[in-house]
Amino acid sequence: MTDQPTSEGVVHGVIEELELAPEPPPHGPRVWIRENLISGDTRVAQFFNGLLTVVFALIAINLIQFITSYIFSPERRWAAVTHNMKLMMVQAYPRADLFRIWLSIGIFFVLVAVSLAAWGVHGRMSLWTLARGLRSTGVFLALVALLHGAFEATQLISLPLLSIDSPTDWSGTRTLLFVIGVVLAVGAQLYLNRTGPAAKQRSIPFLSVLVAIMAIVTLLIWTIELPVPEGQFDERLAPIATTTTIPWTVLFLVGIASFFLGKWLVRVVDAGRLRRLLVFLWVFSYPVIIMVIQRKPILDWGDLLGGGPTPFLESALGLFLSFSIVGGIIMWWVSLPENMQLGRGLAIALGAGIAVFGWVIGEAPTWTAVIATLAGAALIAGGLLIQDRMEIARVIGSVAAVAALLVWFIPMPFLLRSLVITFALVAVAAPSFGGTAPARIRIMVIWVSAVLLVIATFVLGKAETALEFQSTTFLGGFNLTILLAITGVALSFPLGVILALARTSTMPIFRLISTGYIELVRSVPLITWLFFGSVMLALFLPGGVEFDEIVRIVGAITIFSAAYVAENVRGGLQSISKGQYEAARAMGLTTVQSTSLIIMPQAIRAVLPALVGSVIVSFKDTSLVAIIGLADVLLIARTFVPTQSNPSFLGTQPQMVFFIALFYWVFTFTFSRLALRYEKSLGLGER
Amino acid sequence: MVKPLEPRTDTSEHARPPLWRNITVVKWAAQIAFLAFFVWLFWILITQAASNLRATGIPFTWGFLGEPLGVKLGEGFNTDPATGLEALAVGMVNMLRITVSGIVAATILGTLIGIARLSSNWIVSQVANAYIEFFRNIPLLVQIYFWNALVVALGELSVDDAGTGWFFASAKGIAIPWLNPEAGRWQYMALILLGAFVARQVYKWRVRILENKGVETHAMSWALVVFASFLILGWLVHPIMGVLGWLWSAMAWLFGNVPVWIFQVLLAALAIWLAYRFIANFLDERRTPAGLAKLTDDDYFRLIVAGLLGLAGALFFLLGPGQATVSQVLGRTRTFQMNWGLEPLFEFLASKFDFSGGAPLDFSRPEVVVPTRFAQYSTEVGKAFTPAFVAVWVGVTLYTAAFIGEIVRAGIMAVHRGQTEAANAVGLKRGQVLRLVVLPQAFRIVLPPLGSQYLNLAKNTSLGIAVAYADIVQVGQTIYNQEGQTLAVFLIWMAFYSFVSLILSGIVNYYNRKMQLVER
Amino acid sequence: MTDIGKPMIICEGVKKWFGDFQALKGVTTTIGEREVVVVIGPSGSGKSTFIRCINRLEVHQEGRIAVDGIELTNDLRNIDAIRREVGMVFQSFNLFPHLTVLENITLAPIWVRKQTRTEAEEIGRRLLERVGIPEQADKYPGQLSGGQQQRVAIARALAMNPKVMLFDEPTSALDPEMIKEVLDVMKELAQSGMTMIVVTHEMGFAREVADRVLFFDYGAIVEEGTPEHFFTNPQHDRTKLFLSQIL
Repeated sequence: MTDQPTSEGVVHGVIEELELAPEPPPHGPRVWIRENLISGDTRVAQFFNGLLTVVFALIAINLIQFITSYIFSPERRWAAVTHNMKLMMVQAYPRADLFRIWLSIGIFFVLVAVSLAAWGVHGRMSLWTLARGLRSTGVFLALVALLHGAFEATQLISLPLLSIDSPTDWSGTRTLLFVIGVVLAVGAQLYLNRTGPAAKQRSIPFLSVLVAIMAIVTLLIWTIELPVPEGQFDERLAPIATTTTIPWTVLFLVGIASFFLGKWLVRVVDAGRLRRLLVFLWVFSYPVIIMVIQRKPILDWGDLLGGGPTPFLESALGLFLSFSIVGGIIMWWVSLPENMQLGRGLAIALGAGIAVFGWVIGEAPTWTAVIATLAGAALIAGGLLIQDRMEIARVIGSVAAVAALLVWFIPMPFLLRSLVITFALVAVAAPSFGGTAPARIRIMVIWVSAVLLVIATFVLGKAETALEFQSTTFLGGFNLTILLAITGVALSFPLGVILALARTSTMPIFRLISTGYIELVRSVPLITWLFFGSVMLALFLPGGVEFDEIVRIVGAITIFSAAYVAENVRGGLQSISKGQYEAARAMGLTTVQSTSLIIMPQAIRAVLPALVGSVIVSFKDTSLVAIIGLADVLLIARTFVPTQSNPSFLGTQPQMVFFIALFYWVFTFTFSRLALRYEKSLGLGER
Repeated sequence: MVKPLEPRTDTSEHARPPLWRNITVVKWAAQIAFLAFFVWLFWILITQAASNLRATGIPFTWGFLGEPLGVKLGEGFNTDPATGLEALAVGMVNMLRITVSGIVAATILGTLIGIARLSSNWIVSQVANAYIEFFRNIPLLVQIYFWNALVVALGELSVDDAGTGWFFASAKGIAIPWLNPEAGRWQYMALILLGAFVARQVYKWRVRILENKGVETHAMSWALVVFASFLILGWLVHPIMGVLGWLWSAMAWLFGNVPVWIFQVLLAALAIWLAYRFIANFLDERRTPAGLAKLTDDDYFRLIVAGLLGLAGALFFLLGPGQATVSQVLGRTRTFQMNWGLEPLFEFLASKFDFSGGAPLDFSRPEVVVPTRFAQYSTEVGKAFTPAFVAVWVGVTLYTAAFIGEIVRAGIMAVHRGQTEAANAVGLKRGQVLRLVVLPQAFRIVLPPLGSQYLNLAKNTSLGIAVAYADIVQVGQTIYNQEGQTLAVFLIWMAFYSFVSLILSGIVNYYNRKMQLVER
Repeated sequence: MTDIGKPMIICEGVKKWFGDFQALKGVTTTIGEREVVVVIGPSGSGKSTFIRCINRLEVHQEGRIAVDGIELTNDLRNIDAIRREVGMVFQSFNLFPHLTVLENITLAPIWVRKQTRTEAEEIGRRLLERVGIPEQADKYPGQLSGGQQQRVAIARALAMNPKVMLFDEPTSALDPEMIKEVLDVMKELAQSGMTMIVVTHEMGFAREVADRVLFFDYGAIVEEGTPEHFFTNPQHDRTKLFLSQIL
């Protein structure tokens, strides 16, 4: 695996190896110390190694003390965190509608739990590892509790940067921490002593460990007393963290219940079908959560049934019916083997024809519309003139795919443009994947759901939101961070794959354009692309077309990360042997078929670790939107909380930065560890 | 025994397929159609931008480069730039300062961490591990904010601090002792370059002796001694390099007085020669024992582009007016001779080289002065870093070092097992194994990902804008907030970062190729 | 010279260059229906290039190749048609590692021949039985031995019901004990009347199964004839030298 391509993401993914603590002493602690702390062939080497141990131990102790004393100092006002938790998570989202957020998280939990059951995650953790982990945790906790009190004695390296705050009276917490630590460590050690190496054989499902951790967290929510700000504060802004105990507990229970639901479903329904359904749900849950659940659109059936200047066309229902029926008939016909080539050509000619139609119904004729008209006319005329039934599409296909894109620059309803583009895309792909009756039905389903999706997006997007909030958007805080990360990755992935294919293509012009794009985008830092999105993008759009700032920023992130995705996927493409291409070609598969059925699945599997790495990178990168003033979790925590939220939190900036650092760390670290587990289990699979 | 040819059986199709079925034609048609679409799209976007700009009343112009800016910059070689161009130059230099020093520091720190990570000493490897996991998993921006907050939290200096010291840390920045350049540095630098050249020649000479006579000649030690002696003796005798001043004056005279057409011809010849060298090298690379390898479309494309570029360059130099009048760029008309400002360059150099003595560098400790206001300080000696610089520098260095640590660790792991055993088997000690066997090989594995980390570091310096560090992004933003020339500023960013990326990856590729050659 | 019957593959003066290196120097031969032709020769003699030209994995630059009356040109339709009619088995198997054995076999029938999945799977299982590994249908290629993989590759090519099968050194990447199981399948195939072109170093196979042997050297057919003629009474010096080296 070290032969992977050398882009940053790969390195991130490949290098990371779960380094377990060294093997426990088979002959007791003295041997362990000899081998791990003062090892060496000679006395001198041992001495220096011991010296090293002392120096590094002092550094570690000093750092731990610095951090604990910082956290537990009376000067810290952690109420700034707990009190503003809601602000940091969802910013201006109205309190009355907060259940929508909980519902979103709930859907996510359910999906995760059912998926875990459906894919039968069978990772197990040996009790040996678990006990040793608990022992380390216990020792660490006890050490932290001890060290804090004794800091003056051990603080030998006194760098001015690490000036340690005065010790505080947190003896209650300290004693508790110490007791918990000792109990954990002693208990784990006793278990290890009692069972010995046999513990290596015993294991429990990884999932149980996960559930146990979550149960502990849930318990903690109920028991831990959160700090409250001093003095008076607005009742309306009561610390949300203290009111979330019940929702979290419910979610936890729902998660467990869904897991067993999933187990039951696997037994009742065919597992393959369940998995396909889950993939579908995963893909569509996200837009539904954002557009419907969180946005709370005001849906008026008048929107659907017409109204406006061109009642029928503007009518969502009319559009849906006409497009799915007419388009569906065409798709059905196109996907019949003997009609494939002719059908593809005619389908696209139809797309161009709609472009012409769009011009006719559009407001003002422009020269682009004239070209579109000519192109459409030429296509249809060409289609009629060329008699060779089978081959018309080859000519038309290449020219007309371009022509269908023309609609983008013709004044016509935005929705219609999108539908025409969707039509062209599905129609071009349909012949390759049509053929048998089930395949043709599948294409019909895909077509109708694509139409539905496009129309639903527009209807929901156009609908007013019923939320009441004092901000430009209902998205903010961590909710926005997540949105940016997920949407950025989801959109940049297909673009990146196309770019990677173009860059490895045998056709020089495609390669040139793709290479130019990738290199240009990658040479400039993300922040300048964000400036581009927020300040410059509007310059390039036709008058009247305006996007929300969040949409523009998502566009900028997509432009940027597509180049990185493309490089990763290219690495995967290059790792596939020439023989695979040749075998696919020798079997008579077309280029589209061999790419999508043979090459891409293998390429993506090969670079999955790198892609996961780039997901982590893009999660971290979303923090940059704080610079251009989008209210993500970083901007709120660092700027809004210490300056605007409440007078009693003035000047809490350093500790808010400290908190937000830990916050990001927890997410990134957990995610990268899970990815690592997954990567390892992948390695054990069929490859 | 050759069989007679069979009679032609009916091949139902004639040999030439119709155009729309000809695979070559179809492929090229698709490409050309897409290219046309692409160009058209680009053109649409540009005309759209132009019309939008016209509508806003701020037409696209480079005029701001020559106009006074009226903004003070946070730091840099000139905090009160006269023009936009100067401000951008300050921003570029500020960016490069952090990039170069950050790369050096992150490489050293990262290598140490990578090695520590593999240490047999448990606590050392755990500390290194904690470092990597901690810094890698927190967004760099948050880290920069953190360091900035930390520096700001240091508190102001008071009058009590006035005076000379070794180290000052305050909310206004950090000051350390420094070697500051003095007037003699130009001669000294020239001498060091000369020393490097001589040392290289000595090295080659000793290696030749080694190869011819087969005795150990300590080539590296010789070269180092020669270089060190230049370094040390040069400190005392550097005024002799003042002779170069005469040379520079002569060059300045030459470039000022020789007719322009001579330069035109020379430059045209250079362009042709470069293109020729490229093509010749390219063909050499493709040559195999069995003859020239088959050239791909791509190869032909490159050769044709190289040839055309060479030709275009030559024509440009020959037929061009011999001088370029650039009026827009700097707001005022300027004429560039074809000798491209070499005359002022050499005049500048000539003014720097004389026979005056004095130390080239001056070691000094920072000194707090209380010039105008209480608790403000500045240092005229030593070196003071602003909080923004400290935050960005520390941030990118520590962040990148975590990644470099992982790369180094992976590199060492990749060569570790068999090679270490082999080295142990021939009786090398542990330190020698690491130094002589493992590290050189790891370096080769590590270099490409290291290069991409360097590029990341260079790009990450742009986050300085978050703490108002006056790098090119922040200066650019200041400019477009004032002048509204967003597009022009974006193009400058693009050009500058592309240029830096190109240089960096060029250096890395150069070493990479050198390393790969060693392997063979 | 045996009567070759109706010509299936016609090659006339086929030439091919890789850059300056000429891999094929005018190959002319005709292969009849149901004929089994074994191509032998030293490595680098152009024999692999020759059969790869027949289904256009390599593009010949001069001369004509026609398969079942369809000429190979730049014509997209002809290329698709020929690839449907010509099956190929590679030296390195080239099975698709992310698909099961059965999926490997049914892929092309479903997507190219537009058969239904059930239909294709039924044919696939029959073919697996024919090559002797019906029980491996749901395994992944990585779980099979080399010989089994090559037999799957043969079944995969047969699933398209081709008129011609090309074998590009099918046993060269196999351990000695697995060669026989693959050769047995090929013999059975030859006896069933399939038109086959086999590039191989297995002289035993050539002697036993081939209708005709082509000897390639320096990009041209140096000598051809029946196996008896070829192995007992070679005419050309280079053929004699080659046979003396390998036999």
